[in-house]
Amino acid sequence: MDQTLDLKEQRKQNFVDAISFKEPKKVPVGAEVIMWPLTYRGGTYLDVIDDPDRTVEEYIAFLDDVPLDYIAMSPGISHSVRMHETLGSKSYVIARDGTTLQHAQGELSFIAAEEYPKIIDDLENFASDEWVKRNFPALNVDSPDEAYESLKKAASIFKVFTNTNRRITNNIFEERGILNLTDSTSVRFGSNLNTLFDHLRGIPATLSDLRRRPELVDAACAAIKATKSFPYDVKDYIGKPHPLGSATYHSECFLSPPLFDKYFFNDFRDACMPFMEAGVKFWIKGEGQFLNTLDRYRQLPQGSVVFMLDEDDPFEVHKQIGDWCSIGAGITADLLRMGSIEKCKDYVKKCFDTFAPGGGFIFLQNKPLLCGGDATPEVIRAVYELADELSRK
Amino acid sequence: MELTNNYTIIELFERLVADESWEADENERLALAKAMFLSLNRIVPLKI
Repeated sequence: MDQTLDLKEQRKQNFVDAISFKEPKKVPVGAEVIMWPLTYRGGTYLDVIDDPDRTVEEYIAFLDDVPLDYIAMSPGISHSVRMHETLGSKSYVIARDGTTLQHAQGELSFIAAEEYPKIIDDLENFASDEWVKRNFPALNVDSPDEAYESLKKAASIFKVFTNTNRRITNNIFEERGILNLTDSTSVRFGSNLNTLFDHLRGIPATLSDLRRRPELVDAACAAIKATKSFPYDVKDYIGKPHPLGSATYHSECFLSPPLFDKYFFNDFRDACMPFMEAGVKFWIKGEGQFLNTLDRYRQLPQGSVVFMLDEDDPFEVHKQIGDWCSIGAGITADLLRMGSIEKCKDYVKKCFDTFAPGGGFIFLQNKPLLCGGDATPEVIRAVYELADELSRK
Repeated sequence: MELTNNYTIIELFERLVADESWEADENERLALAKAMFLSLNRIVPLKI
């Protein structure tokens, strides 16, 4: 176990060095994985969904072959489909491949435009009661006893689900010593608009409201901000670059630069800058394209942010902000899924040659491994074995 | 969808936190109930 702790400490030091623009002894090689690991040995999630032991066994199997220094975000089963089924919700379903967890946002009962006052006037009450009843039919029945029996059944399922994920993360982060980037103490920032966009009004309606009823969007964002807690004291984070703070883009790639400032960046900067000045590094999980807003990050301390890119070309991002923020890049989802092993390897080499000198680079895919077909075992092994080799030079 | 009942979701969760039949450990029961409440509504924590 001591050796595992040593290994984890080395991985932590390498990670912190890399994102602080010091060349690390080894460039951190990592991945973001969601449901794909369950297919590494040829099966599907449906094969193991009701067997926690087999779920854990299948999920961690790829780690015997694929060398990883860190895993980004939260590995494990992302949502309990069985709990949603028990409560009558169809918002998370297993896709036709038998593995991918699909978020069926269209199945949710979002607020209508005329219901904005419900969240502006009393979001806490609306979210904790009406919203739940609207979206989980088994909790919206005449008899409280009947509703309670459904809740209790769902709670037993949720318990198994959380225990299964705990076993998966324990194996990854404790037994294997793979580095986690965030933990329960991490400073987490979420934009108020994303709460509206993801949970209350939905994607199409929120984007349309930004043009048609911006005053209601602003009032809703103010109500969301008043409800959220940001329970962090900068004194607890002085000189602690790890675990990282984090923020995740979702609506951001749909916003013009002025709206990006208004609904994300200004709040992010104001809330998180004191932590960056104290030494905390922030993980920005990108979604979509955001090249046109990267210049804002020069307002923050150099070396305080690392980006997981998505659709943007990392070579362009590196030219624009590579001296100020670190980037996670190295292989793309389309190459992993459809490229030949040689094409994948050429891309990996080009990334190391361009980004590794001087630090500011960690190896990572541009999109998480979500579905069974996202990468064959042969391709993933070839890519990560090469990355591991190049990371030591 | 019509809301036709006269109980609240928080009342159901209070009952869940008090109910030993699905989880014997009191602390674990509370932690699971809180995590589940947040996973359902995604915005506000359970304040019990």
